[in-house]
Amino acid sequence: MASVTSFLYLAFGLFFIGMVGVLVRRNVLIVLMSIELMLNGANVALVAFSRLWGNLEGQVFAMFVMGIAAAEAAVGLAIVVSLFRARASANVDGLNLLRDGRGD
Amino acid sequence: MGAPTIRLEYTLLWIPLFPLLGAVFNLLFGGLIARTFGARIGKESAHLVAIAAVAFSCFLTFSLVMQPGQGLGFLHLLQTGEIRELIPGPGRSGHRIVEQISPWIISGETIVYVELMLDHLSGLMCMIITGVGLLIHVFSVGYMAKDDGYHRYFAYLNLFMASMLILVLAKSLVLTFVGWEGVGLCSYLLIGFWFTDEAKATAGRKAFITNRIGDFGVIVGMLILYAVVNSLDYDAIRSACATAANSPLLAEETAVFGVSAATAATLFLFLGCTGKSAQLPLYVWLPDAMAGPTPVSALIHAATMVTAGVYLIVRLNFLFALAPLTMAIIALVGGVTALFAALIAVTQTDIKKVLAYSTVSQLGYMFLAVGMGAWVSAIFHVMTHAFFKACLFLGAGAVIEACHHNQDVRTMGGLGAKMPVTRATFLISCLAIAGVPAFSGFFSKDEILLHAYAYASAWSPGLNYAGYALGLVAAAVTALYMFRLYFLTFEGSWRGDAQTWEKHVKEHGILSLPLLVLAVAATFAGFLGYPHALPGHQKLPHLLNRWFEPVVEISHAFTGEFAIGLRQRLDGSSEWFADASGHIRADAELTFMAISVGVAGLGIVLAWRLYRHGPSEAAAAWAARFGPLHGLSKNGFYVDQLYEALVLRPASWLAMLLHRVVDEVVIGMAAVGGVSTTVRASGAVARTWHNGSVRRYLVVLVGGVVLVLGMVYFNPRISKFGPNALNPTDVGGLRPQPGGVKLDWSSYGFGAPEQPEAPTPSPAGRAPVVDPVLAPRLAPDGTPMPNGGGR
Repeated sequence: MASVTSFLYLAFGLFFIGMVGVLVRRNVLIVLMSIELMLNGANVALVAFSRLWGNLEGQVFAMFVMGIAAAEAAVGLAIVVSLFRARASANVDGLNLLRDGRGD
Repeated sequence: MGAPTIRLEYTLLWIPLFPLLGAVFNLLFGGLIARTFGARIGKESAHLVAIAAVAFSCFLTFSLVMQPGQGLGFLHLLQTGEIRELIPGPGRSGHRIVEQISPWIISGETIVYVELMLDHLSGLMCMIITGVGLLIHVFSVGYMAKDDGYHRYFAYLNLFMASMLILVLAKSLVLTFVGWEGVGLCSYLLIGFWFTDEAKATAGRKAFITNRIGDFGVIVGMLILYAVVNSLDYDAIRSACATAANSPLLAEETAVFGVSAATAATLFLFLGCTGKSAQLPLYVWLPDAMAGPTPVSALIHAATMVTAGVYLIVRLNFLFALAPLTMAIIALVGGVTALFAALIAVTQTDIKKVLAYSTVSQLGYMFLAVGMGAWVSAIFHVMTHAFFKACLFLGAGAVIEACHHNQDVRTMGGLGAKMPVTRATFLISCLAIAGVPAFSGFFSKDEILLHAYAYASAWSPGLNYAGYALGLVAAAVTALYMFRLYFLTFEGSWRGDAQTWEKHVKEHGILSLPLLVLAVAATFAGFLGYPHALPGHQKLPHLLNRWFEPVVEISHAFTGEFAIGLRQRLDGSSEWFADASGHIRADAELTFMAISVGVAGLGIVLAWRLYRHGPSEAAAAWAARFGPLHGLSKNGFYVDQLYEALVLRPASWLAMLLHRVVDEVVIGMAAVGGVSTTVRASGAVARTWHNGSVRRYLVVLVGGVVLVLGMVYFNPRISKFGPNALNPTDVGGLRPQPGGVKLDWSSYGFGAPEQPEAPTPSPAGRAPVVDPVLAPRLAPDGTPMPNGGGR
């Protein structure tokens, strides 16, 4: 079987891809998907450690994370839909109403 | 039933407390009552409360001082010519009543009590204050009748009474200072009573500020005394002074700038006295203080408050006696002030200004007396002056009221015809202040002049002659200006407009009553100090000398350098006016009396010749003859202008400089402006981060996370398992053992609680694990894990 390190590489890879996606993509939907990727990267790490230490805490956490991710996706998508309705765009960079007026 | 024993726990306290309560009542409810029940009832209640309060404390004072059984025994003195000790009781011993009201300032080992003391000095002062004060309250009812601020007026007047009584009854300098400041405050409030008039408000401020300069002196003097004596209680200062030459106040180690602590402290206290008692150089506020209502001038600026300085010096006579330099300065300042103010008074045309300068001059006499060590004469003059000057001021008040608030004597004249009582009492007081025999002023002023000449000054041998000469000339001038005032006001013919004469000039009963009482006192008070030289002194001894024996006994016992009295006591040499036993010879005393009566007569005759029929050509000719002097006197020797140039202008320049440089540049631009500029600049920097771009926030967030994790990872104290590499005694980081916290699963129904750390379990002894998920301590590759896998 693969050692725990391999699982961690996988988790890190997922997390990193998700992170880069969040940081560089402009479409809100893609950003939300990337967040899911990051959460799943974390889940992989949790499950791997859970197996490593032989207890259930990590797996329980992973279940929680999935549940919360589902809720978050639902809420996030709802926000995206209403944003799209209001602004006819799903571009993250356009969502800067709260910035200081004199900033860049 | 036996005789009821009434034991008032705090008897003395009520003396100042009654007027204080009256003041509080009138301040809080006076306006309310006037609004609710109408102006008439408002005024009635205001003056009834005020007068009742003063009458109560007057009654209490007189009974405590006079009472045959329990009091200080003033009646006993009058009957037998002897003083007697008090019947011992709570707070009563020897010659005084002491009441400790409560602790006041507790700081380390220092405890200052609110303590009141009624002894012979404060007793006499209280009688003067409450007695004259009561009459002036009554007078005010008539004088202020048409004023809108009626209840305010009586509240201030009562507050003044309370402060003054605290001042004299206090048993420590601290409490005296409370009263001292209190009377200053009331003086300010009452001078500026008609504060809508800018000039009057300014006069109030001037009085207050000038007094503050003096108060600074009092504070410094108190601090010096406290530094040496470690207490400001009069008894403590007294016992520190009682050892005369061995007193700690004279010791080398307590010297201040090369002079003894006694001299330094007394000089500063005297500065305070020059402020409060209107002596050179701080007298300038008193003539301006005449802006207040006339009864206030009578009460505060003639009879009571201004004598506070004299009182303070006599109260601390043992201390001042230890400072011959201060005494010499006091005598000189007093003498010069007496003449200086008298010269100004000669040419003033405002009836109240004349009396104001006269007050300054008379206070100069008192300071001349204390400076020469004649404590009793000074207090004697305080008393007689209180009577005749209050009478003069109230007479002037009646005149001003009659003349429709005109104060210029040039437009008066002939008032005697319509105001006989005022005229008679005014004349009596003029005779008294001029020093005509049998009237009170004669006895006290003559005593002062006699002592000014006869008493030796340790500091400067010839000083007494200078003081006497100043006092004598001032006496002549006093007689001149007082009778000038009298003739211009009451004799001759009316010089004002006819309508005022027809309608306004008349006497009011309520104004005349206090005048009569004061005139009687001004006539007979002098017999309390009947001189030894006159016939009949066996039957009527000098009562006040006896009365004040307990007060001045310490300083009278000093010998040598600090001796008080004739030169004989100072250095043994005798002078022509002294007999072998160290007393002034009777014939010498009579000579001095004749001289002072002579100069007084000179002044009166001159006034009679010049002003008998009002302002005459002869008077104008005299004025022309003394042209420059007349001009100087008319303008008060330009002292106000001098102060304006020397003090006020530089002070306002300095204030302008401070305003322009310190306030506007340093504080306004550098300090306050600097803070706001800094905040704004840092805000501008921070604002650039808040640009609304979510992705950039995330970059920063990720960067921060990486930074923190990196710091944790590379910190050997918290990221490494096992013993600390840097510190061998440290058993490990935050997680000394891998494995972390064990959860107890039993409560979730996941089977038996896991045994912690079974040491080296043998594979054969263990039951086969059924559920691979629950199999403990197996690495993902299936091998059992040893005690921790490390990183």
